[in-house]
Amino acid sequence: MSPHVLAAAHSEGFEAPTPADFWQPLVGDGAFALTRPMVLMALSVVLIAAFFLVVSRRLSLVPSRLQFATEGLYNIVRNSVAIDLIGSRDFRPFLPLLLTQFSLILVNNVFGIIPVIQFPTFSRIGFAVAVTLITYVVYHAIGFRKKGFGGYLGSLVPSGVPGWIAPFIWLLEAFTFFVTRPLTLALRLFANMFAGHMLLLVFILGGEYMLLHGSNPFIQVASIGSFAMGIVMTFFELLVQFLQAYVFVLLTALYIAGNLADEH
Amino acid sequence: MTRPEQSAPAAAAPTSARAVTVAPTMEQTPRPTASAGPSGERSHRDRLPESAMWNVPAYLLAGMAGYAFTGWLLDRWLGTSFLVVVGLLAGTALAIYTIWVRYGRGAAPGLAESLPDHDADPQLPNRRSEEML
Repeated sequence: MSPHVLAAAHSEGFEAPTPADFWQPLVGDGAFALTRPMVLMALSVVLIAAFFLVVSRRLSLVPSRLQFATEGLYNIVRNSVAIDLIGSRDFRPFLPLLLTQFSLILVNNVFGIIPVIQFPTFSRIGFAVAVTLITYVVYHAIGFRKKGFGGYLGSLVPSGVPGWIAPFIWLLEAFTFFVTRPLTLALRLFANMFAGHMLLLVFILGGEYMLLHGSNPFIQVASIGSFAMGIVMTFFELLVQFLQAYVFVLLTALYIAGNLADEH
Repeated sequence: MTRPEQSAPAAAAPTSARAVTVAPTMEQTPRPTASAGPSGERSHRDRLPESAMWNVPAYLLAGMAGYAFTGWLLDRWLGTSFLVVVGLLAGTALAIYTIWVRYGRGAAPGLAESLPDHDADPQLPNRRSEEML
């Protein structure tokens, strides 16, 4: 009996999640489809705007619990990113950008573990590229405006390197500034969200399959372990989701600070 | 320089001797921040050194991929086939060197504080923050 049952179970066996699972069109198909992450991105913008409007309308000297929490979040960006990296003299014009990027990335990342919504928007690389593009344009615009076209390109090499090696370092710095900085910024966010969501899918879908389609009671009991790992990884994901939002604005501030720095 | 509580520093071990020399200096001249220049305005940039480490992957990738690509282009142009490898290895070495130039030289916070000459000598720039960007 058992070989037959095993074979039957195998024929409709467990299908591991694939990158194709991240393509979720809701309306239409192809390049112009309305997809789930697009809806979530729009939803996040509405949520963030409404949240900040409500909180800032009821500001008081003795903060409510909501205001206290919001100020905590705001102070992370303001103090430990903007002031600590850009400096107390110049940070102010960039604070709105940093706070917007931080809250947008944070909310869209946390979407990955909120029931029903359950999809990290930035696990589609196009969204990560879009926010990175803003950072890219901003820090290069600052560099070109502050130092001039030739001055900016000439300032890439750090002072105090031997003359013969300077051209090679200039090429390396040019690659870094114009290619690998945005590349690593976008890929770090995308890959963390993608891999994290994949991990959750594996544990939870695996547990579900073992529980509902397991061929004997031992496998069905073993699904508890898979679900437990799913829960543990969900909390771990929350940490990663926050950390990625933080690192993204940290690097944006770092690049801005670098191009604002005075010449030596 | 007065050392009120350490009247016999000669007998102290090297580690505690350094602690003795550093502690009074910091009490007398508190350094506001790492990068407070002559203007003193640019304060609160303490976390720049530790944050700069996030730049390191970008440099390594630029060194490897950028110079391997350059080597590949030269290979196509010159009709050779070894310049990809040369570019990859030389680019990696160059990236590590650049990371050292930017973040390694005099960047250790404890080290810079324990070397008073670093601030006194105008020839030696304070590399701790501006060069890290």
